[in-house]
Formats: sequence, structure tokens, C-alpha cells
Amino acid sequence: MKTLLTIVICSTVVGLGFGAGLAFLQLRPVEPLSELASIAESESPAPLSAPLSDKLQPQAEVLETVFEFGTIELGATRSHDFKISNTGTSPLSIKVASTTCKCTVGSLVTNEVLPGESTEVNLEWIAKPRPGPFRHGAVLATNDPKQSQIELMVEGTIVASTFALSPTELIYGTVQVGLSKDAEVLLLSYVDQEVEILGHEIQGDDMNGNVDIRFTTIAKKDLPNTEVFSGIKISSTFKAGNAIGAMRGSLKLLTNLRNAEQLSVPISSHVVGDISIYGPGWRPKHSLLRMGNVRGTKGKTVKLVLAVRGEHAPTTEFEVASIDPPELKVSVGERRKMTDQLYHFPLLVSVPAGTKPLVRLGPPASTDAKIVLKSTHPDTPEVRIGVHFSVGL
Amino acid sequence: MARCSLWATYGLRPVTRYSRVLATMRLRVVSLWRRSLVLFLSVGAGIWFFGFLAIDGLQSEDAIVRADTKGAEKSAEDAIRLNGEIFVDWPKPQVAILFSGELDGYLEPCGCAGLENQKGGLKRRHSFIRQLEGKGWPLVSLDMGGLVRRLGPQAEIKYNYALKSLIDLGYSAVALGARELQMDANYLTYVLSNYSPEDNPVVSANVSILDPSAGLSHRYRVIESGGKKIGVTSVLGKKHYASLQNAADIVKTDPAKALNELMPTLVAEKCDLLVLMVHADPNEARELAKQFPQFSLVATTGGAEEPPPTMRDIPGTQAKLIEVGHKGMYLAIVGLYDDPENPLRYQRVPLDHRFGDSEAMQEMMTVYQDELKEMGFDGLGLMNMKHPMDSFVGSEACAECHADEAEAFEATPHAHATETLVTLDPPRHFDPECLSCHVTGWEPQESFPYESGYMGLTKTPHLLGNGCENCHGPGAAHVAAESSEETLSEKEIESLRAAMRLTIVDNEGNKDGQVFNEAVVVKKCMLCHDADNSPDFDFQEYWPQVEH
Repeated sequence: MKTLLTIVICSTVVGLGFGAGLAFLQLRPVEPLSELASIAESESPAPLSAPLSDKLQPQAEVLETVFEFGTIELGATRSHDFKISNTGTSPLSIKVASTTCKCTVGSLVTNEVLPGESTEVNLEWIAKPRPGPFRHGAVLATNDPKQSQIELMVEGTIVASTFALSPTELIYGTVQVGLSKDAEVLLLSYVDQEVEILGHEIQGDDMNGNVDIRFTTIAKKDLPNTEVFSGIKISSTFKAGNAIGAMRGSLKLLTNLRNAEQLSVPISSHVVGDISIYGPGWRPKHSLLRMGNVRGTKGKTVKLVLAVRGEHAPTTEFEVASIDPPELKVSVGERRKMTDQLYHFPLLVSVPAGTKPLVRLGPPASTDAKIVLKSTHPDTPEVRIGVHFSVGL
Repeated sequence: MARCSLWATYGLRPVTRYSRVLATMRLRVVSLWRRSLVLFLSVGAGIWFFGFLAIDGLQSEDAIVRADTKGAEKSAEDAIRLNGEIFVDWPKPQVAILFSGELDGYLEPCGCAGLENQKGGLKRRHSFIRQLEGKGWPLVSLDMGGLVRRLGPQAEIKYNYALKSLIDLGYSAVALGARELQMDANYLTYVLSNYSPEDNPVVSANVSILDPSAGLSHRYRVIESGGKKIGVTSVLGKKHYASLQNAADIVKTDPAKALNELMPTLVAEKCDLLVLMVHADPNEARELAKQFPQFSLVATTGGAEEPPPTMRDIPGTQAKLIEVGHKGMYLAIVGLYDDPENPLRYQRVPLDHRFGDSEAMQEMMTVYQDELKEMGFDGLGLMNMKHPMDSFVGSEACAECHADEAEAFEATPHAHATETLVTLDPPRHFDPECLSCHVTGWEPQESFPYESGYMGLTKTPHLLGNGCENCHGPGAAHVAAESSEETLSEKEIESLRAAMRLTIVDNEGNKDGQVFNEAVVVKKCMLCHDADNSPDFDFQEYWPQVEH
């Protein structure tokens, strides 16, 4: 019995000790991560333990770390060999630590370079991204104490090999209600082929019926540069209706170009009226402010801007005509002149702290909260604003 | 969960080990010392086991943090190994000038390929800036513009938050990029009018919004820091003029003419250093540097995605050319020293995972996501796009006939792609740029829903996940034909079946030497597995994981 008791006590002590030790390892404090960012700590670097010249050391010498490929056609492959010499007194170890892109291959003839000898690192680049400037490379890790990393780079410019859209979108920008705007893009062929449009379609209800498209073959003398074999100018006109807000769609093109039989050109515009509202949660198409769920104890205030444009802007004034429910608080601030024909009014919509639980989230629209502003603008005597919000505890 | 991670940490499998002990006891060992040893071990192990459970239970949250931190330490070391140390042998500069630009809308790296494989993000940028400030380095932060890449309400909201973030991060000057100027001019006016002239960092010598008297941007700024006076201006290059054909309310002047007009004023400020930011391309920046040799540092956008590791000389000038690449992946730091031999030092800073996430920028992301939620797809101008072929019915409809394929699909991450967004902090399932590849029935590259596509977790539960129809095409007509809702001829039914079929050709893939141009399937994959979100994508490696 005594023996058993001794064993139990000993086991308990050992078990507790072991558990405590592991727990300490698990929960001990750690160094802050920020120290790992390797930001310079001191005014001067720490001295080395012994002068480098006293030791046998490898020394990497790279005469060229950047190679300019020049212009590369999209999809083409180019490579370059960088020479690395060991001018030190012990073997130089080299390995590829990383490459900046999977398109770049860093290959080494050998991983160890003896003193006085050289090796080559090959960087290969497959020009796959979009046309434009490129720069990619590889980082080599070495055992040279003065140069633990060597970065090699290839640079150049990728050019389109078959076709290009310039610019790539039809952007009408801000358009006043009822007015029109034009935009154009060029479809250019870089191959020995006359480009033709075999069909086209406007997609997106916002744009369909509002955009007029025209195609014109570009005369050889008017092509943007000598590398372009042929081109078509795509002209368009967007006519803004009464609907306001952001509009988007796309122009689908069928062409005779190889690898570009179907092309899509994004279309965008923003239709505005004389009086516009901006701010977080504002949906212009429905003249609706979404305030979300508000904590009753905290309340919430949304700062909007009422922007008035045009000839009536300098004389337009606003006042709050009605608010439903009365728990909402609304105020229109002092006007701020931006230009002679643009004035801003701060518009504050608040759910005050202490408001009791309430739901006005729509739909249907009859359950929306409503704010009506009276305006002196001759064409817009009233601005009606729907509000979606709920108040919780 | 924490308990499992603890066991895993120490490579122990408690049940197995305990079972072995029990098995040992069954051997009926006769000698006392062996019996004692067995009892000793079993009691000790039992107390350790239960003791550890207790500690684990009490400290589980700490333990998780600790485990994560250990992972982060390792990751940070990996990041340094991959992308190099920074500021090696740098003494404290008199002032450090931070350059950024072409954020391209990447408030954060998307994370699809694993954050440890991606650089950039304002959260890391903020952490880096705090580290420099923590070391007492006087810092002047400048941005070359290009905060957004797309157009439309989401891009506008994003610009608002990006600019606000840069102001919060202490930026002294932010240039205007071409994309910003293509946005709705009213929105841009609204954003900038929220700031007083002192707080507004927007700078341009040759572009003003509305007109210069509106005070929505500065022609130049002079910043005093670390005892140095630094003059900064920016220009929008002529390269972008064609794309601004319809930019309303923008007043622009030829960049050289604008700088000519500005230089006497800027020189009269008697700055120690003049900086020019060019939102154009390196060639245009070099030309302007030659025309205006008063600038010591010329920073430019429009270069390659990866910036060079050093500043470059600009032939014919004393100026240095600085690039920072695209998507906010890198920053450039120029240190100024009162050292005639070495007055400038340069460091390219990769914003990799060695830098943690700042809470302030995380909070900004939450507010940004909240606003996207309140706007809804309609408010973001993303509605009313019909799919050119058909309507979406959801993967469950496919599963009714294609059970084996559905089973294979369920085992892939594609089936749970929406859930991934919902469980993020903050959730991203109101963000169209994320949703476009995480639900069914969206245009993956342009980030908008088709009319019959996903509209919400509860509105369209049948369209959760990156479903069958994202590759095979919308299947409403095919399903209707097969279920006899439509009376069609055999030929018509077969034609609809054929339209849904996809065939992989021999050696299909996206790597060199593989068949790409004539292939169909790999191109569909790459609408989501693109260079941004899946840089390691290799069709021949990935396809077997989802083969069906």
C-alpha cells in the first residue's frame, strides 16, 4: 500500500512538472513581429567579429544585373545569361531564392563556383501579360558575406502582336440628363489582314437603345504607327434619358481577326440632373439613402452633399418640408460655392442616440422613411428622399 | 480546435499513446519494478493529459494567438528570405521620403492565392509606416495617383476610402491619376470638398477639378520635416489625354507649360529638395526631368509592374528616377543625409507578410465593406445585364441528372467558394469584385451579375459557390428540355446538350509548350484563376483536383 502511495505521489509530481514545462513552452512571451522587418536599428552597423580580409571568403562579382530585352511581341520567349564570377578565396555557393513571376525561369549551370571561376544564370521570359512595360527577375542567395542576395532583372516592352483596342473602353463620363456625348475607340490590326467588323451588339439594359455605334475604316495614312496594318474607328454617341446614376454595358464585336473573333468593349456613363446628392449609402437611381441598422443607444449621422448645377445654382435654396418618421432629424447647411454654376449644401440625416426601436426598411416603398426638401429651383421645386433604416437596442 | 493544434504542435497523439499504455497493462507484468514503472507512467501521463487540458481550456485564446504568432514569425522570416532585408546598414536619415503610386484599387491583396504569396495592401503599408515612425525617422509620404483601376460607383467609393486612408497615414501629397479623373466629376468634387485645404493632400500642377479657384487641389506643396524643406508637385502626362476625352469639369494644361509657370514660385520657396511626380510613363518623366533640372527626384507611374531595385539616373540631369510598380505592392524610400559623399539612399520596400495588419486599416476595410452592403448591387450600378445565351438554374438542378459530377464538384473548394467570403473578417460577400468568382452567374472579369445570377445568400441560395454553369454556361434551356417542360425535337435537345459540353484537348494548359490558343476549358478557368488571383495556376496540375 505504501509502495503504491509513493508511486502515485511520484507520478503526480513528475506529471505536473512535465505538464507545467510544456505549458510554459506553449505560453511564453514572444518577440514582437516588428523586429523581424529588418529595419535598420543603429546609427552605425555592428562590427564584424573579425576583419573579412583575415578569413577565406567567397566574393560574387556580377558586371551586369539588368538586361534590356527591348521590344517583345506578346507571347514570344526571350532569354539571357548573366555571368557571375567568384573573385574571392573560397567557393561561392549560389541558389535561386525567388523569382518575381512564374513566367521567369532562373536556372543555374552550377550551384558552386570555385575561386577564380564563373557560372551563368539564365533568365527566360515568356511575354504573356498585357502589352506595356515589363520587368521581372530572380533573386539569388549566395554565401558571399558582403552580398548575400543578388537581384538579376530583365526588362522591356511587350507589344501587341495581333490586335489592339485604343483606348479599351467607351467612356462618356458625366452626362447631363437629356444631353448626348460622343466617345470613340480604335480597333487596330497588327497582322497582315484587313480588319472587318462582322457584327455588333450593345448589352446591358442601361445602354441598350441609348447608344448609337458607327464604324469607319481608317485610311492607311491615318493609322497611328507603321506597325499597324489596318484599323477601324468605332464612333459612338450616348444619349442620356431621364434615369440618373451610373450606367454600364458593353459593346460586343464580331471580327474577322484570328484569336479575336469576339471582342468586348466596356461602356460606362454617369447621368446627372441639376440637383444631385452624394454620400455614403446614397443610391441615386432610386433617390434612396440606406442607413442600415442603427444602434438606438448610439445613434447615427450620415453626411451627404446636395450639389446644384447650372444657371439656377446661385439662387437655389432648400428647406426641410417634411420628415417621416419624426425620429429622423434632417438639416440643410450653409451653401458653399464651388464655381459660378456649382454650389454644395451639406445635408445631415441623423437618427439621434436614444431613439426607440423602429423599422423602416422597405420594400414596399410605402414603408420607406421619407424626407421632402422644398427647393427654389424653378425646375425642381421638391426633392424627395427615401430612407431605409432600422433602430435596434 | 485549439486542443488539436496543441497536440499537433508537439507531435503527440494522446489517444494512441494512452491506448498503448493500456495495452501494456494488459500484459500482466509480474515483477514489482515493472509494475511500478507502468503505474508511474500511466499516472504521470494521466495527470499531464488532464493538467494540460485544463491549462489549454483556460488559455485557449492565448494559445491560438501564440500558435498564430509562431506561424507569423516563420512567415516573416520566409518573406525576408524571399524578398530580402531592408534598410541594411542605413543610419537614421535626416528625413525619409516615401513614394507610392498606382494602387489600382488594391486596398488589400485579394488573398485568393494566400496572403503570404501576395504583396501590398494598406494594412501592411500602415504597419510599415508605424515602424518607421516608431524609430523616430522623420517621414514625408507622397503618392503618384492611380488609386483606382475601374470605373463606376464601387471605384468611386473605393477612391474615397483610399484617399481617406492616405490622409490618415499622414500623406503630404497625392497626385491625380487618369482613372480618378475619368470618374463622375461630381463624386470627385464631393470627395475632395470634404477636406479643408490644409488637410487635402491632392496636388497637380497641370490639372484642376472644376477650376483652380475651387480649391480642390494644390498646385504644389512644401513640407518641412527633419529640418529639411521639400517642395513637391505633380503632373498628369500627355499620355493620358486621349482617355480623358469626356472627363467633365477637369481643367488641364500641357504638363511642361504648367511646370514652366510654376517653377518660379516653387524655386522661390527655397526648398532643400524639389520632387516631381509624373502620372504618365518613364519616358515622359525623363523628358520632363531634362526640361526642369531643378527637380532632384522624379517619380513616375506607367512603368513595369515590378519596380527596379534601385533609383535610376536620368541621362543629362542630376535627377534620379523612381518607380514603385503597380497595385501598391512596393513602396520606395529615399533617405536624405547631410553627407556630401552619399546624400541619398534608396530602398525598395516589398509590402509582404513580414508586415502585420494595422487595426486602423482593418477598420477602414470594415467600413468600406459596410458601405458596399448598404449600396447593394443596384446602388453600385450592376443590374440589368442579361446573359447573351440563357439563364442560370444553379448546380442542384445539374445534380439531378449528373450525380457523379455533382459529387466530384461538392468535394472541391468551388462548391464552398461563397462560404469563404462569408467567413472572412470583415465578410466580403457584398463586394462585387470578390463575388464575381465566388458565386454562380456573374461576369468574372467585369464583376457584375447577370440578371439570373447570384443576388444574395437568401435571395438566390441555389447559386452559391462557383457552380457548374460558370464554366458550362447557363443551363435553363437545357434543364427545361430534359425535364420535358419544353417540347423539343431530339435534335434540339441534343443541340442543347452539346452546348453544355466542354472538351479538354490533348496537352491543354497555360504553360509554355502546352495547347492554349485552340483550347476552351483552360481559358474558362483563367477568367478567375488569373495572374492577380491565382499566379501559380497550372491547368495540368489543377485540373486533376476538380476532374469530373
